[in-house]
Amino acid sequence: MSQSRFCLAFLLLSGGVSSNLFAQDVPSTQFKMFGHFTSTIEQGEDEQFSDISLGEHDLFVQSTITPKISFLGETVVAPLNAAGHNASDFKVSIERARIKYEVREWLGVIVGKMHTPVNYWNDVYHHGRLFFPTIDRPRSFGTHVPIHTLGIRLQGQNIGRLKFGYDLVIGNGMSSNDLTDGNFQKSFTAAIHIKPEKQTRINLSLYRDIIYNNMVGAHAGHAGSSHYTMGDAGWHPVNLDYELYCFSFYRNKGKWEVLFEGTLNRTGLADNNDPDLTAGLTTERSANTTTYLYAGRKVSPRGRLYALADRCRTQAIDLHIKSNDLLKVGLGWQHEFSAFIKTQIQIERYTGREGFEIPADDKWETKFRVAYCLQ
Amino acid sequence: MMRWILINFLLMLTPMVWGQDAVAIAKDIGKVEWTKDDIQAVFLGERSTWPNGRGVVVVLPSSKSDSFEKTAQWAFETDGFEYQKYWLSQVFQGRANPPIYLEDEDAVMDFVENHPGSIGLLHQVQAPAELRLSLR
Repeated sequence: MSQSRFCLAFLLLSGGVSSNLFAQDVPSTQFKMFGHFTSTIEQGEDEQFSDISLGEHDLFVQSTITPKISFLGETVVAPLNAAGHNASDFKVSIERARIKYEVREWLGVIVGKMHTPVNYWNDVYHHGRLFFPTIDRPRSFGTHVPIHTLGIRLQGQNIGRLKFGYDLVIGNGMSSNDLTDGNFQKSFTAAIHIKPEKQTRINLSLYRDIIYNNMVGAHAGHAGSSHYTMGDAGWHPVNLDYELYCFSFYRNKGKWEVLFEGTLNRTGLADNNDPDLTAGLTTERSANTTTYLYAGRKVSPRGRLYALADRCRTQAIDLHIKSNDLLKVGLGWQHEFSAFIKTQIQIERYTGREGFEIPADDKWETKFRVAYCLQ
Repeated sequence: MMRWILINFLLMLTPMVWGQDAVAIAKDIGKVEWTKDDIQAVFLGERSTWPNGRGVVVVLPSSKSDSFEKTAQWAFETDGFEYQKYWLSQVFQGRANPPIYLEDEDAVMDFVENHPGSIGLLHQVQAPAELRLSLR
Protein backbone atom coordinates (compact mmCIF):
# COMPACT_ATOMS: atom_id res chain seq x y z
CA MET A 1 0.00 0.00 0.00
CA SER A 2 2.76 2.43 0.95
CA GLN A 3 4.55 1.62 -2.29
CA SER A 4 1.43 2.48 -4.28
CA ARG A 5 1.11 5.78 -2.46
CA PHE A 6 4.76 6.50 -3.13
CA CYS A 7 4.34 5.76 -6.84
CA LEU A 8 1.23 7.93 -7.04
CA ALA A 9 2.98 10.78 -5.27
CA PHE A 10 5.97 10.39 -7.59
CA LEU A 11 3.82 10.52 -10.70
CA LEU A 12 1.87 13.54 -9.47
CA LEU A 13 5.07 15.29 -8.50
CA SER A 14 6.63 14.48 -11.85
CA GLY A 15 3.58 15.78 -13.64
CA GLY A 16 3.86 18.98 -11.68
CA VAL A 17 7.51 19.40 -12.53
CA SER A 18 6.73 18.74 -16.16
CA SER A 19 4.05 21.40 -16.29
CA ASN A 20 6.29 23.97 -14.66
CA LEU A 21 9.08 23.37 -17.10
CA PHE A 22 6.61 23.56 -19.97
CA ALA A 23 5.49 26.97 -18.85
CA GLN A 24 9.07 28.19 -18.42
CA ASP A 25 10.76 27.11 -21.55
CA VAL A 26 11.10 23.80 -23.28
CA PRO A 27 8.64 21.09 -22.41
CA SER A 28 10.15 18.25 -20.68
CA THR A 29 9.03 15.00 -19.22
CA GLN A 30 6.66 12.48 -20.75
CA PHE A 31 5.50 9.26 -19.18
CA LYS A 32 4.11 6.37 -21.13
CA MET A 33 3.28 2.84 -20.15
CA PHE A 34 3.62 -0.04 -22.56
CA GLY A 35 1.95 -3.28 -21.63
CA HIS A 36 0.46 -6.45 -23.02
CA PHE A 37 -1.59 -9.56 -22.28
CA THR A 38 -0.86 -12.77 -24.12
CA SER A 39 -2.70 -16.03 -24.39
CA THR A 40 -1.20 -19.28 -25.69
CA ILE A 41 -2.66 -22.62 -26.65
CA GLU A 42 -0.05 -25.30 -27.18
CA GLN A 43 -0.64 -28.62 -28.90
CA GLY A 44 2.27 -31.06 -28.52
CA GLU A 45 2.56 -34.68 -29.54
CA ASP A 46 1.12 -35.99 -26.30
CA GLU A 47 0.00 -32.96 -24.36
CA GLN A 48 -1.90 -29.73 -24.58
CA PHE A 49 -2.01 -26.67 -22.44
CA SER A 50 -3.29 -23.14 -22.50
CA ASP A 51 -2.66 -20.01 -20.52
CA ILE A 52 -3.38 -16.34 -20.30
CA SER A 53 -0.42 -14.37 -19.10
CA LEU A 54 0.14 -10.90 -17.78
CA GLY A 55 3.00 -9.47 -19.78
CA GLU A 56 5.73 -7.00 -19.03
CA HIS A 57 4.50 -3.58 -18.04
CA ASP A 58 6.97 -0.95 -19.02
CA LEU A 59 7.03 2.55 -17.51
CA PHE A 60 8.71 4.64 -20.17
CA VAL A 61 10.09 8.07 -19.32
CA GLN A 62 11.47 10.56 -21.80
CA SER A 63 12.66 13.94 -20.70
CA THR A 64 13.97 16.69 -22.92
CA ILE A 65 16.08 18.41 -20.31
CA THR A 66 17.33 20.92 -22.85
CA PRO A 67 16.78 20.69 -26.63
CA LYS A 68 20.19 18.97 -26.82
CA ILE A 69 20.22 16.94 -23.61
CA SER A 70 17.64 14.25 -23.01
CA PHE A 71 16.98 11.39 -20.63
CA LEU A 72 15.30 8.12 -21.51
CA GLY A 73 14.35 5.46 -19.03
CA GLU A 74 12.39 2.22 -18.98
CA THR A 75 11.41 0.38 -15.83
CA VAL A 76 9.80 -2.96 -16.45
CA VAL A 77 7.59 -4.84 -14.04
CA ALA A 78 7.06 -8.44 -15.06
CA PRO A 79 5.39 -11.39 -13.36
CA LEU A 80 7.62 -14.19 -12.15
CA ASN A 81 6.92 -17.67 -13.30
CA ALA A 82 6.44 -18.96 -9.77
CA ALA A 83 4.04 -21.45 -8.26
CA GLY A 84 2.05 -21.52 -5.03
CA HIS A 85 2.38 -18.66 -2.61
CA ASN A 86 4.82 -16.81 -4.88
CA ALA A 87 2.52 -16.92 -7.85
CA SER A 88 1.76 -13.23 -7.60
CA ASP A 89 5.39 -12.17 -7.35
CA PHE A 90 6.87 -9.67 -9.76
CA LYS A 91 10.34 -8.59 -10.71
CA VAL A 92 11.24 -4.98 -11.32
CA SER A 93 14.07 -4.10 -13.62
CA ILE A 94 15.53 -0.85 -14.89
CA GLU A 95 15.96 -1.76 -18.52
CA ARG A 96 17.15 1.57 -19.84
CA ALA A 97 18.43 4.70 -18.13
CA ARG A 98 20.49 6.88 -20.39
CA ILE A 99 21.37 10.50 -20.91
CA LYS A 100 22.08 11.78 -24.39
CA TYR A 101 23.91 14.91 -25.40
CA GLU A 102 23.36 15.65 -29.06
CA VAL A 103 26.12 17.84 -30.45
CA ARG A 104 24.87 17.59 -34.01
CA GLU A 105 23.08 14.95 -36.07
CA TRP A 106 26.48 13.40 -36.79
CA LEU A 107 27.55 13.19 -33.16
CA GLY A 108 25.60 12.35 -30.06
CA VAL A 109 27.06 11.05 -26.81
CA ILE A 110 24.98 8.64 -24.74
CA VAL A 111 25.87 7.31 -21.30
CA GLY A 112 23.98 4.84 -19.17
CA LYS A 113 22.15 1.57 -19.56
CA MET A 114 20.95 0.98 -23.09
CA HIS A 115 19.85 -1.65 -25.56
CA THR A 116 22.80 -2.82 -27.62
CA PRO A 117 22.20 -1.43 -31.12
CA VAL A 118 23.32 -4.67 -32.76
CA ASN A 119 20.24 -5.28 -34.83
CA TYR A 120 16.98 -3.68 -35.83
CA TRP A 121 14.84 -5.59 -33.36
CA ASN A 122 16.91 -4.76 -30.33
CA ASP A 123 17.36 -1.15 -31.32
CA VAL A 124 13.80 -0.40 -32.38
CA TYR A 125 11.39 -2.72 -30.54
CA HIS A 126 12.90 -4.46 -27.50
CA HIS A 127 10.17 -4.11 -24.82
CA GLY A 128 7.73 -2.25 -27.06
CA ARG A 129 5.26 -5.04 -27.80
CA LEU A 130 3.04 -2.45 -29.44
CA PHE A 131 5.65 -2.19 -32.20
CA PHE A 132 6.42 -5.91 -32.56
CA PRO A 133 5.52 -7.16 -36.04
CA THR A 134 5.14 -10.72 -34.68
CA ILE A 135 4.08 -11.82 -31.23
CA ASP A 136 7.42 -13.39 -30.30
CA ARG A 137 10.86 -11.94 -30.56
CA PRO A 138 13.28 -13.66 -32.91
CA ARG A 139 15.04 -16.63 -31.33
CA SER A 140 18.37 -14.82 -31.57
CA PHE A 141 17.05 -12.43 -28.91
CA GLY A 142 17.20 -15.09 -26.23
CA THR A 143 20.26 -16.92 -27.45
CA HIS A 144 22.87 -14.96 -29.37
CA VAL A 145 22.10 -11.27 -29.07
CA PRO A 146 23.44 -9.46 -25.98
CA ILE A 147 20.48 -7.25 -25.24
CA HIS A 148 21.83 -4.61 -22.84
CA THR A 149 24.97 -2.85 -21.90
CA LEU A 150 25.97 -0.13 -19.49
CA GLY A 151 28.47 2.17 -21.05
CA ILE A 152 29.21 5.03 -23.38
CA ARG A 153 27.95 5.32 -26.93
CA LEU A 154 28.76 7.63 -29.77
CA GLN A 155 25.93 7.99 -32.22
CA GLY A 156 25.47 9.74 -35.52
CA GLN A 157 22.41 9.51 -37.70
CA ASN A 158 20.77 10.80 -40.86
CA ILE A 159 24.07 11.85 -42.40
CA GLY A 160 24.09 12.61 -46.10
CA ARG A 161 21.71 11.49 -48.80
CA LEU A 162 21.63 7.86 -47.67
CA LYS A 163 20.93 8.94 -44.09
CA PHE A 164 23.92 7.06 -42.82
CA GLY A 165 24.06 6.32 -39.12
CA TYR A 166 26.55 4.79 -36.76
CA ASP A 167 26.64 3.60 -33.16
CA LEU A 168 29.88 2.83 -31.35
CA VAL A 169 29.51 1.45 -27.85
CA ILE A 170 32.02 0.54 -25.18
CA GLY A 171 30.32 -0.97 -22.20
CA ASN A 172 30.14 -3.61 -19.56
CA GLY A 173 30.18 -7.09 -21.01
CA MET A 174 27.87 -10.04 -20.94
CA SER A 175 29.21 -11.29 -17.61
CA SER A 176 28.31 -8.04 -15.86
CA ASN A 177 25.29 -6.86 -13.94
CA ASP A 178 23.92 -3.38 -13.31
CA LEU A 179 26.43 -2.70 -10.54
CA THR A 180 29.70 -4.13 -11.70
CA ASP A 181 31.55 -5.74 -14.54
CA GLY A 182 34.22 -7.25 -12.32
CA ASN A 183 36.99 -6.90 -14.87
CA PHE A 184 38.87 -4.34 -16.96
CA GLN A 185 37.90 -5.67 -20.35
CA LYS A 186 34.81 -4.13 -21.97
CA SER A 187 32.41 -5.16 -24.70
CA PHE A 188 32.56 -3.33 -27.99
CA THR A 189 29.77 -2.70 -30.49
CA ALA A 190 30.12 -1.07 -33.88
CA ALA A 191 26.93 -0.70 -35.87
CA ILE A 192 26.21 1.19 -39.07
CA HIS A 193 23.01 1.68 -41.00
CA ILE A 194 21.61 3.52 -43.96
CA LYS A 195 18.07 4.67 -44.68
CA PRO A 196 17.92 5.03 -48.44
CA GLU A 197 14.16 5.70 -48.36
CA LYS A 198 11.53 6.56 -45.82
CA GLN A 199 10.72 3.53 -43.68
CA THR A 200 13.68 1.55 -45.00
CA ARG A 201 16.75 0.70 -42.93
CA ILE A 202 19.69 -1.57 -43.59
CA ASN A 203 21.86 -2.37 -40.60
CA LEU A 204 25.25 -4.08 -40.14
CA SER A 205 27.00 -4.60 -36.85
CA LEU A 206 29.83 -6.25 -34.98
CA TYR A 207 29.82 -7.05 -31.27
CA ARG A 208 32.77 -8.46 -29.35
CA ASP A 209 33.18 -9.43 -25.72
CA ILE A 210 34.96 -11.83 -23.38
CA ILE A 211 32.57 -13.96 -21.34
CA TYR A 212 34.30 -14.66 -18.04
CA ASN A 213 34.09 -18.15 -16.58
CA ASN A 214 31.41 -18.92 -19.15
CA MET A 215 28.86 -17.15 -16.96
CA VAL A 216 26.57 -14.42 -18.19
CA GLY A 217 24.68 -11.80 -16.26
CA ALA A 218 21.47 -9.92 -16.85
CA HIS A 219 22.84 -7.92 -19.78
CA ALA A 220 23.33 -10.97 -21.96
CA GLY A 221 19.65 -11.78 -21.88
CA HIS A 222 20.42 -15.32 -22.84
CA ALA A 223 17.60 -17.62 -21.92
CA GLY A 224 18.62 -19.99 -19.17
CA SER A 225 17.67 -23.13 -21.00
CA SER A 226 19.64 -22.32 -24.12
CA HIS A 227 23.11 -21.78 -22.72
CA TYR A 228 25.33 -23.82 -20.43
CA THR A 229 25.19 -22.98 -16.76
CA MET A 230 27.00 -24.31 -13.74
CA GLY A 231 25.92 -27.88 -13.11
CA ASP A 232 25.39 -28.74 -16.76
CA ALA A 233 27.56 -31.60 -18.01
CA GLY A 234 28.79 -29.48 -20.91
CA TRP A 235 29.65 -26.42 -18.82
CA HIS A 236 33.30 -25.40 -18.62
CA PRO A 237 34.35 -22.43 -16.48
CA VAL A 238 36.56 -20.92 -19.15
CA ASN A 239 36.81 -17.45 -20.61
CA LEU A 240 35.25 -17.21 -24.05
CA ASP A 241 35.90 -14.87 -26.90
CA TYR A 242 32.45 -13.96 -28.22
CA GLU A 243 31.93 -12.38 -31.61
CA LEU A 244 28.58 -11.50 -33.16
CA TYR A 245 27.89 -10.14 -36.62
CA CYS A 246 24.37 -8.97 -37.46
CA PHE A 247 22.58 -7.90 -40.59
CA SER A 248 19.09 -6.37 -40.59
CA PHE A 249 16.84 -5.19 -43.36
CA TYR A 250 13.57 -3.39 -42.70
CA ARG A 251 11.21 -1.89 -45.24
CA ASN A 252 7.67 -0.62 -44.95
CA LYS A 253 6.53 0.58 -48.33
CA GLY A 254 3.03 0.62 -49.73
CA LYS A 255 1.11 -2.40 -48.51
CA TRP A 256 4.19 -4.47 -47.64
CA GLU A 257 6.29 -4.55 -44.51
CA VAL A 258 9.36 -6.78 -44.35
CA LEU A 259 11.95 -7.43 -41.67
CA PHE A 260 14.94 -9.73 -42.00
CA GLU A 261 17.36 -10.35 -39.15
CA GLY A 262 20.45 -12.49 -39.59
CA THR A 263 23.21 -13.21 -37.11
CA LEU A 264 26.51 -15.06 -37.23
CA ASN A 265 28.04 -15.82 -33.87
CA ARG A 266 31.55 -17.21 -33.42
CA THR A 267 32.64 -18.32 -29.99
CA GLY A 268 36.00 -19.78 -29.01
CA LEU A 269 38.42 -19.98 -26.13
CA ALA A 270 39.87 -16.63 -25.08
CA ASP A 271 43.62 -16.15 -24.84
CA ASN A 272 43.67 -15.59 -21.09
CA ASN A 273 42.55 -19.04 -19.90
CA ASP A 274 44.27 -21.29 -17.38
CA PRO A 275 45.70 -24.14 -19.54
CA ASP A 276 44.47 -26.68 -16.97
CA LEU A 277 40.89 -25.61 -17.59
CA THR A 278 41.12 -25.80 -21.35
CA ALA A 279 42.78 -29.20 -21.58
CA GLY A 280 40.78 -31.37 -23.93
CA LEU A 281 38.61 -28.51 -25.20
CA THR A 282 38.52 -27.60 -28.85
CA THR A 283 40.39 -24.52 -29.97
CA GLU A 284 38.11 -24.22 -32.96
CA ARG A 285 35.59 -21.40 -33.07
CA SER A 286 31.94 -22.19 -33.55
CA ALA A 287 29.91 -20.58 -36.33
CA ASN A 288 26.28 -20.29 -35.28
CA THR A 289 23.57 -18.63 -37.28
CA THR A 290 20.08 -17.32 -36.75
CA THR A 291 17.70 -16.04 -39.39
CA TYR A 292 14.34 -14.40 -38.89
CA LEU A 293 12.04 -13.27 -41.66
CA TYR A 294 8.76 -11.44 -41.34
CA ALA A 295 6.60 -10.28 -44.24
CA GLY A 296 3.27 -8.59 -43.74
CA ARG A 297 0.72 -7.19 -46.15
CA LYS A 298 -1.94 -4.62 -45.35
CA VAL A 299 -5.35 -5.98 -46.19
CA SER A 300 -7.32 -3.09 -44.72
CA PRO A 301 -6.35 0.35 -43.37
CA ARG A 302 -5.77 -1.15 -39.91
CA GLY A 303 -5.36 -4.88 -40.63
CA ARG A 304 -2.33 -6.84 -41.74
CA LEU A 305 -1.78 -10.48 -42.64
CA TYR A 306 1.71 -11.77 -42.07
CA ALA A 307 4.01 -14.75 -42.21
CA LEU A 308 7.19 -15.49 -40.30
CA ALA A 309 10.07 -17.94 -40.32
CA ASP A 310 12.67 -18.13 -37.59
CA ARG A 311 15.62 -20.53 -37.61
CA CYS A 312 18.39 -20.99 -35.08
CA ARG A 313 21.43 -23.22 -35.58
CA THR A 314 24.15 -23.67 -32.99
CA GLN A 315 27.05 -26.03 -33.56
CA ALA A 316 27.97 -28.83 -31.20
CA ILE A 317 31.47 -27.39 -30.62
CA ASP A 318 30.05 -24.22 -29.09
CA LEU A 319 31.10 -23.87 -25.46
CA HIS A 320 28.49 -21.28 -24.47
CA ILE A 321 25.20 -22.10 -26.18
CA LYS A 322 23.78 -25.61 -26.30
CA SER A 323 23.73 -27.05 -29.79
CA ASN A 324 20.43 -26.91 -31.65
CA ASP A 325 18.79 -26.69 -35.02
CA LEU A 326 15.32 -25.24 -34.52
CA LEU A 327 12.76 -23.83 -36.87
CA LYS A 328 9.56 -21.95 -36.33
CA VAL A 329 7.15 -20.86 -39.04
CA GLY A 330 3.89 -19.08 -38.58
CA LEU A 331 1.01 -17.10 -39.96
CA GLY A 332 -0.68 -14.22 -38.24
CA TRP A 333 -3.04 -11.32 -38.43
CA GLN A 334 -2.91 -8.00 -36.66
CA HIS A 335 -5.45 -5.29 -36.18
CA GLU A 336 -4.63 -1.81 -34.94
CA PHE A 337 -7.52 -0.10 -33.17
CA SER A 338 -5.45 3.07 -32.89
CA ALA A 339 -1.77 4.02 -32.80
CA PHE A 340 -1.85 2.97 -29.13
CA ILE A 341 -3.53 -0.42 -29.08
CA LYS A 342 -3.42 -3.46 -31.30
CA THR A 343 -4.20 -7.15 -31.29
CA GLN A 344 -2.40 -10.02 -32.96
CA ILE A 345 -3.26 -13.64 -33.46
CA GLN A 346 -0.65 -16.09 -34.66
CA ILE A 347 -0.50 -19.79 -35.50
CA GLU A 348 2.97 -21.30 -35.24
CA ARG A 349 4.57 -24.59 -36.09
CA TYR A 350 7.67 -25.47 -34.09
CA THR A 351 10.00 -28.08 -35.45
CA GLY A 352 13.71 -28.80 -35.84
CA ARG A 353 16.35 -31.42 -36.36
CA GLU A 354 17.21 -34.13 -33.85
CA GLY A 355 20.74 -34.99 -32.80
CA PHE A 356 21.51 -31.81 -30.89
CA GLU A 357 21.68 -31.02 -27.22
CA ILE A 358 18.43 -29.05 -27.34
CA PRO A 359 15.83 -31.50 -28.64
CA ALA A 360 13.87 -30.63 -31.74
CA ASP A 361 10.51 -29.04 -31.12
CA ASP A 362 7.41 -30.73 -32.40
CA LYS A 363 4.38 -28.67 -31.54
CA TRP A 364 1.79 -26.19 -32.70
CA GLU A 365 0.98 -22.99 -30.88
CA THR A 366 -1.77 -20.45 -31.24
CA LYS A 367 -1.13 -17.11 -29.60
CA PHE A 368 -3.26 -14.07 -29.06
CA ARG A 369 -2.01 -10.74 -27.80
CA VAL A 370 -3.29 -7.32 -26.90
CA ALA A 371 -0.53 -4.71 -26.71
CA TYR A 372 -1.04 -1.10 -25.74
CA CYS A 373 0.53 2.16 -24.77
CA LEU A 374 -0.95 4.57 -22.24
CA GLN A 375 0.05 8.20 -22.02
CA MET B 1 3.37 29.94 -77.99
CA MET B 2 1.03 31.45 -75.42
CA ARG B 3 0.37 27.99 -74.03
CA TRP B 4 4.11 27.35 -73.66
CA ILE B 5 4.56 30.66 -71.80
CA LEU B 6 1.61 29.86 -69.55
CA ILE B 7 2.96 26.39 -68.69
CA ASN B 8 6.38 27.81 -67.84
CA PHE B 9 4.82 30.53 -65.75
CA LEU B 10 2.82 27.94 -63.80
CA LEU B 11 5.94 25.84 -63.26
CA MET B 12 7.74 28.90 -61.89
CA LEU B 13 4.92 29.41 -59.45
CA THR B 14 5.13 25.86 -58.07
CA PRO B 15 7.45 26.65 -55.11
CA MET B 16 5.30 29.60 -54.18
CA VAL B 17 2.21 27.44 -54.27
CA TRP B 18 3.96 25.02 -51.94
CA GLY B 19 4.77 27.96 -49.71
CA GLN B 20 1.08 28.79 -49.48
CA ASP B 21 0.08 25.20 -48.76
CA ALA B 22 2.52 24.54 -45.98
CA VAL B 23 4.62 27.20 -44.34
CA ALA B 24 7.36 26.37 -41.87
CA ILE B 25 7.73 28.90 -39.10
CA ALA B 26 10.49 29.56 -36.59
CA LYS B 27 11.98 32.49 -34.70
CA ASP B 28 15.50 33.73 -33.97
CA ILE B 29 17.35 30.79 -35.46
CA GLY B 30 19.94 32.71 -37.45
CA LYS B 31 20.56 32.32 -41.14
CA VAL B 32 18.85 29.21 -42.48
CA GLU B 33 19.11 28.06 -46.07
CA TRP B 34 17.17 24.85 -45.97
CA THR B 35 15.43 22.98 -48.70
CA LYS B 36 12.03 21.36 -48.46
CA ASP B 37 13.82 18.04 -47.81
CA ASP B 38 15.65 19.56 -44.84
CA ILE B 39 12.40 20.76 -43.31
CA GLN B 40 10.74 17.42 -43.99
CA ALA B 41 13.67 15.79 -42.17
CA VAL B 42 12.98 18.00 -39.16
CA PHE B 43 9.35 16.87 -39.12
CA LEU B 44 10.55 13.26 -39.19
CA GLY B 45 12.90 13.78 -36.25
CA GLU B 46 15.89 13.21 -38.51
CA ARG B 47 17.32 16.68 -38.23
CA SER B 48 17.64 17.90 -34.70
CA THR B 49 19.78 21.04 -34.84
CA TRP B 50 19.57 24.39 -36.60
CA PRO B 51 22.55 25.51 -38.70
CA ASN B 52 23.65 27.67 -35.74
CA GLY B 53 23.91 24.55 -33.58
CA ARG B 54 20.83 25.21 -31.49
CA GLY B 55 18.51 22.28 -30.89
CA VAL B 56 15.25 22.11 -32.85
CA VAL B 57 11.98 21.63 -31.00
CA VAL B 58 9.22 20.30 -33.26
CA VAL B 59 5.72 21.57 -32.55
CA LEU B 60 2.74 19.75 -34.03
CA PRO B 61 -0.99 20.32 -33.90
CA SER B 62 -3.16 17.75 -32.16
CA SER B 63 -3.34 14.37 -33.88
CA LYS B 64 -7.11 14.88 -34.05
CA SER B 65 -6.79 17.97 -36.22
CA ASP B 66 -6.92 18.25 -40.03
CA SER B 67 -3.66 20.09 -39.87
CA PHE B 68 -1.92 17.04 -38.35
CA GLU B 69 -3.20 14.95 -41.23
CA LYS B 70 -1.84 17.48 -43.71
CA THR B 71 1.53 17.57 -41.96
CA ALA B 72 1.65 13.78 -42.14
CA GLN B 73 0.98 13.86 -45.85
CA TRP B 74 3.53 16.58 -46.38
CA ALA B 75 6.37 15.23 -44.26
CA PHE B 76 5.80 11.48 -44.29
CA GLU B 77 3.71 10.97 -47.42
CA THR B 78 1.20 8.93 -45.48
CA ASP B 79 -1.76 9.45 -43.20
CA GLY B 80 -1.89 10.82 -39.69
CA PHE B 81 -2.29 7.37 -38.17
CA GLU B 82 1.02 6.15 -39.59
CA TYR B 83 2.71 9.45 -38.74
CA GLN B 84 1.58 9.20 -35.13
CA LYS B 85 2.94 5.63 -34.92
CA TYR B 86 6.16 6.76 -36.51
CA TRP B 87 6.76 9.45 -33.90
CA LEU B 88 5.87 7.11 -31.06
CA SER B 89 8.44 4.65 -32.35
CA GLN B 90 11.16 7.26 -32.89
CA VAL B 91 10.78 8.49 -29.33
CA PHE B 92 10.71 4.95 -27.95
CA GLN B 93 13.95 4.16 -29.77
CA GLY B 94 15.53 7.25 -28.28
CA ARG B 95 16.49 8.47 -31.72
CA ALA B 96 14.43 11.67 -31.57
CA ASN B 97 13.01 13.98 -28.95
CA PRO B 98 9.21 13.94 -28.87
CA PRO B 99 7.35 16.75 -30.59
CA ILE B 100 5.19 19.09 -28.59
CA TYR B 101 1.54 18.58 -29.41
CA LEU B 102 -0.70 21.63 -29.18
CA GLU B 103 -4.37 22.06 -29.87
CA ASP B 104 -4.34 23.73 -33.27
CA GLU B 105 -2.30 25.87 -35.64
CA ASP B 106 -3.00 29.06 -33.71
CA ALA B 107 -1.46 27.46 -30.64
CA VAL B 108 1.49 26.24 -32.72
CA MET B 109 2.13 29.75 -34.02
CA ASP B 110 1.80 31.24 -30.58
CA PHE B 111 4.27 28.71 -29.18
CA VAL B 112 6.83 29.26 -31.95
CA GLU B 113 6.60 33.00 -31.52
CA ASN B 114 7.43 32.66 -27.84
CA HIS B 115 10.02 29.87 -28.05
CA PRO B 116 13.02 30.57 -30.24
CA GLY B 117 14.42 27.33 -31.62
CA SER B 118 11.05 25.69 -32.09
CA ILE B 119 9.54 24.97 -35.49
CA GLY B 120 5.96 24.59 -36.65
CA LEU B 121 4.21 23.94 -39.93
CA LEU B 122 1.11 25.88 -40.91
CA HIS B 123 -1.40 24.84 -43.53
CA GLN B 124 -4.45 26.91 -42.67
CA VAL B 125 -3.39 29.84 -40.54
CA GLN B 126 -1.63 32.75 -42.19
CA ALA B 127 1.92 33.07 -40.86
CA PRO B 128 3.47 36.48 -40.18
CA ALA B 129 6.32 37.22 -42.59
CA GLU B 130 8.91 37.45 -39.79
CA LEU B 131 8.26 33.86 -38.73
CA ARG B 132 8.28 32.29 -42.18
CA LEU B 133 11.22 30.14 -43.14
CA SER B 134 12.22 30.77 -46.72
CA LEU B 135 13.34 27.81 -48.75
CA ARG B 136 16.54 27.47 -50.70
